[in-house]
Amino acid sequence: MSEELGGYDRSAIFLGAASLVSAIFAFGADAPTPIDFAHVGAGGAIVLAGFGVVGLLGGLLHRGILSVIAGAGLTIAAVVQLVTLAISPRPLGGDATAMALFGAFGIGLLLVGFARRQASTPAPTDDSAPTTTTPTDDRKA
Amino acid sequence: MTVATQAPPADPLASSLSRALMAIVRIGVALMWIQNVAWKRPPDFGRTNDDGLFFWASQAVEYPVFTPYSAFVESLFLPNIEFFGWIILLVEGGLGAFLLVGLATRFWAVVGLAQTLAIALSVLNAPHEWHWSYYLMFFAHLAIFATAAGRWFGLDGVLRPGWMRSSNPLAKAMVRLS
Repeated sequence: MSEELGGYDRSAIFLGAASLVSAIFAFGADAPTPIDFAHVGAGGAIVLAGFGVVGLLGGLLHRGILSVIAGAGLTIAAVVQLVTLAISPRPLGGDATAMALFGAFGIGLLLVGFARRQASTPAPTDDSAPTTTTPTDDRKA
Repeated sequence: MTVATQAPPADPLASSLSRALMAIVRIGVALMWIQNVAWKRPPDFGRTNDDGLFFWASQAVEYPVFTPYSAFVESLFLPNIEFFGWIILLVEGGLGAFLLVGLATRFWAVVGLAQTLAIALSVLNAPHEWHWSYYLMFFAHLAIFATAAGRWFGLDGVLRPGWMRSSNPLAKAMVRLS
C-alpha cells in the first residue's frame, strides 16, 4: 500500500510541477508558431503557478488534501475560462488552450488527491467499532 | 527425438525506454490538440469573417470528400456552427487535457480517431493539404489505443490498481476506458 501512496505522491509532484512550468506559456503569444502550444494570460499564469505549488507541496508533504485543494482550484479555473471564452477581456486572459491546461492538471490533481486520501484511510475491521480518519492518516508515506 | 524450445518473444513495452517513448507520443498528440483548440473562437467560430472553424468546415462543401458528410456539414453543421463549435471546442480541449495527463486514455484515443476522421472528411481534398497529415494523426491515435499509453507515465497507470479493486461502477468503467 505504501508503494501505491508513493505513486499518488509522485503524481501530485509531477502534476504540480507541470502546472507551475506551464505558467511559462504566458509568453506563448510571442513564441514561434511551432512551439506556441498554449496561450495563458497573466491571471491564468498566477493560477497555474499558485495551485501548481500547492499540488507540488501536496506530493512532497504526503498531504492528499493539498492535492485536492490544488485540483479543485484549477478545475474551477477551467470552468471560469470556459464560460468566459466568448467575452473579451477574459478574467484569466489566454484562450481555450489555457482551459485545457487548467482542466488537465486540475482533474488530475483532484483524482490523485482523492485516491490518496481514500487509500490512506484504514478500512473498518469491526462494525461495532467504526474507525475514524485522523489528519495523520493522510500523511502515511 | 528432441524438441526445440524457444523463448517467447520479449514484450517491447516491458522496456522502460519503449514506455517513455509512447508517453512522448501521447503528450505530443495532446499538445497538437491543445494548440489547435486556440483557433476555435466562440461565439461565431469564424462565421463573420469566414475564417477559423467556419472556413475549414466549409471546405467539406467546397471540396467534398464524402458526399453524405458534405451534405451534413452544409445543411446542419454550418448553419448551426454557434452550437456545434462549442462541441468541437470541448471535444478537442478534452482530447488535449486527458491525453496530456494520460487519463481514460483509450477512450480519448477513440475520440481522437473519430475527430481525425471528421477533420479528414472536411479538408482532405482542400488545396495545399498534405493527406498524410491526417493519415498520420489517425495512426498516432491507433498506437495510443493499442498500447494503452496512459498506463505508463500517465494517471491511468497510477489510478488503475485502485479502480480494479473497487466495486464502484464508475471505477469499473474507468478500467475499461483506460
